[in-house]
Amino acid sequence: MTVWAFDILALLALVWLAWRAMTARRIEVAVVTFLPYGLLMALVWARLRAPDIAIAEAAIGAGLTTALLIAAANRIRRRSAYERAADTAAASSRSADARLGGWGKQLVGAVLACVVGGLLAAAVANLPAQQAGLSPQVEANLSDSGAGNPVTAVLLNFRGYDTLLEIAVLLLALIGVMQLRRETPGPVVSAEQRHSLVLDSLVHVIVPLIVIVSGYLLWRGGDAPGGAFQAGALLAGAGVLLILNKQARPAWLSARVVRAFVAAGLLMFGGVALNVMWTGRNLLEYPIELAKPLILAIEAAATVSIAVILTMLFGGVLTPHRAPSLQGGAS
Amino acid sequence: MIGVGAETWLILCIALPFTLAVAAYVVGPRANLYVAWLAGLAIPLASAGLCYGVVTEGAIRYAVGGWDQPLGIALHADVLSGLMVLLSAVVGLVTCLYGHRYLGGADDASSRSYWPLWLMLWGALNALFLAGDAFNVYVTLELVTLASVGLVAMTGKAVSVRASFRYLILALAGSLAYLLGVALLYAQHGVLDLVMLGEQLGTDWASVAACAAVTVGLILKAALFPMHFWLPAAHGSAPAPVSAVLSALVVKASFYLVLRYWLDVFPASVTDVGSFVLSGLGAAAIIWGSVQALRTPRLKLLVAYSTVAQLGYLFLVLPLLRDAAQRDAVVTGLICLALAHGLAKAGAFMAAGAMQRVAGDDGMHGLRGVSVSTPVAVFAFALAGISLMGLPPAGGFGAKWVLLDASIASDNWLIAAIMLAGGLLAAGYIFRFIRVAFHTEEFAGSVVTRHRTLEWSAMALALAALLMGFLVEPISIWVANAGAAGTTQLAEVVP
Repeated sequence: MTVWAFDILALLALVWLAWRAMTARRIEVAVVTFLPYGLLMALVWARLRAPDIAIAEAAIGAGLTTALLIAAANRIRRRSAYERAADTAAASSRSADARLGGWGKQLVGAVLACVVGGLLAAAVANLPAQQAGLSPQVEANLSDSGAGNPVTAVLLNFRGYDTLLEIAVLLLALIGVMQLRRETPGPVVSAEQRHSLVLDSLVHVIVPLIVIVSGYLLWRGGDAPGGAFQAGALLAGAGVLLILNKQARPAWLSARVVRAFVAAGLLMFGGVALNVMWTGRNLLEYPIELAKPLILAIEAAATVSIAVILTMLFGGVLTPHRAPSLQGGAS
Repeated sequence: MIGVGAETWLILCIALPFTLAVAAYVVGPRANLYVAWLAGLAIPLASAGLCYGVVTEGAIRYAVGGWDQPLGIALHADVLSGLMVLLSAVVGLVTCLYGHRYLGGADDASSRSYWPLWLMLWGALNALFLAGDAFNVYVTLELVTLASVGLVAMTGKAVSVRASFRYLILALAGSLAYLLGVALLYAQHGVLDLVMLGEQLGTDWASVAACAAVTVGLILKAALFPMHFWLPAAHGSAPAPVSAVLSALVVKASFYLVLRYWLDVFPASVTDVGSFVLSGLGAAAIIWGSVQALRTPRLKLLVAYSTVAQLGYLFLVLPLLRDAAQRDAVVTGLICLALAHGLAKAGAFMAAGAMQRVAGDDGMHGLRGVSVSTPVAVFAFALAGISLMGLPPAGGFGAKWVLLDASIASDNWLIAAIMLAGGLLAAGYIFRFIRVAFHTEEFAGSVVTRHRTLEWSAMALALAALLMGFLVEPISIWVANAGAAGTTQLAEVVP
């Protein structure tokens, strides 16, 4: 009974938060609503007995995505007053006809959404109730996969090819973002905030903890919920903190070394995938006795890459070694 | 090819571009020259090896990770996918040459991300053509989309960033619709392998809904009218080598998937209504795209609208697939049309890029008399136009001939009439530019600077499109042979 009540409350709250996030007038409100939405989503995944997705949702959906959204909202707010004035002028000059057209569009959209939703509901209602999918096969082959956690076995072995390409997707996203972000600085932290005692001590305590926990998630991922994506996302949280604290970049961390870290996961995964072929095996066909160490090596490299990529999506690279502050004087 | 099995070429077709892309990314612009040469030589070689293997030995199935289907992922190569890989190889080879010259030296900031993005796109396209698994197709679609969006935004100009953003949103909507279809398929049948799905699908409600979701998602990405509105801006504002690849290969990839699904997975679930709706949209695309190409003030937009029109043909003839007697002919025609359009359109965009270089702009007005300065590019554009119009001996002619024959044989006169009308309209917009190019007024741009590599790259592709006409006969034989052998179903899984 209590569980039922929780489920119903969670679903209602989920829909309500989603609606609020979509219809909020101010972008900050929408972003802030997105955070509890992601956390609640993680709980719902946990209730659906998908702990791997729950951890990933909490780390990526609620954590990093919100950080990205806040950074984006910040930049939008910093647009020059001139542009905003132009927008307001354009908005007020919109005629009643245009507003009517807007209502018409919304009506058409609502009708379309209802039709598509109805058809989908009918299709879902038609689905067979008991369809185990491939789970029995995954269970049957689990002992040969080198991983005790079925999710890890699917991601790194049975369907490792998909994961390999997904890591390439991450790299592509980063290249696409970085080429547009040429000279713009990261999120603004004002001069008073930068040397804040609170942030400093927070970073000193939390960052090492995050590193330990993410190492634990990576190691446990072989047999229990966790793995490279969750560990990498968590580690990226540490990266975001370092950026917010304007941590200086160590001298050895040149742009090329950073790019090597970014590519490490793909290189390791692709290298293993191709090198097993020398002994006459197929692409990605690990020798059974080596499967566990190979998977661990791939996951470790992927964790580093995922962490660096997600951190860079948030705020470019760390500030250069002992570079003078650019924003400090302005405030 | 001697010594190396077709399976090895298959893996190389995917692994080589990704490896080179990562190398280009990590090393940076200093590696550009080597990467361009290596990619331009090695990837086409692997593609040719694969294609040769598929034609001589029949379809290949490859179990990635050594896991049998449905647990593991299968790669699948047959005549259709082999020829698409070969098309990417030819266009890709010329693009490597052209791109290296067009984007200038290693110092150019806007070309920093070109090589990683373009090579990833090449690898993703090959992976897409060779995928045999519904979810793996989704992953490759995402790769193709993200790489294309990045390439469109490469110059960082406001116009292209806006076009790329719109493209991203539309393409993501398409991906989601596709993923929804895959989720329905998996929930119902519990497998993701395309061949196994094809054996299980029926006419029930969930199958038809899955078919609709997958098709809608793919036609969003294939820019079928009226979902084409993102294409002209994206293809028109990108740098010329990028436009060439987008128009020649990227939209073809989505069409290829529609064809693959309708041939191998959905034959039982496709309804007559559905196929005629797509056909009607294709007809509208031919008319609308051509009319816009006749009116637009910019050359690259003209070529982009021509892509909208030419994609229309590919969907126009889909109802003919329902007639079992015409199936092989229609498949042959569609493959040939896709190849011919890919070559001709890449050539046309490259020619347009070369002309833009000397005129400083691609406005029709500024291009008056451009034939003085870039005679080879104008000639290449005209040759590509011959294939687009469908005149003999070009590939476009052979393909349309086969399709016309099939539509008349199955009493679809309306389809035949629209195809002929589309050819006339294409002649209209090609000659519209030719008239501008030979304008007797003094040419306003530079007459001294020549970009020989750019012009001759365009020429090579236009000639390839012209000579493609001679490939129609062999392709029809390969398709018929593959059909006789039962293609996909009987192909053995590689141990």
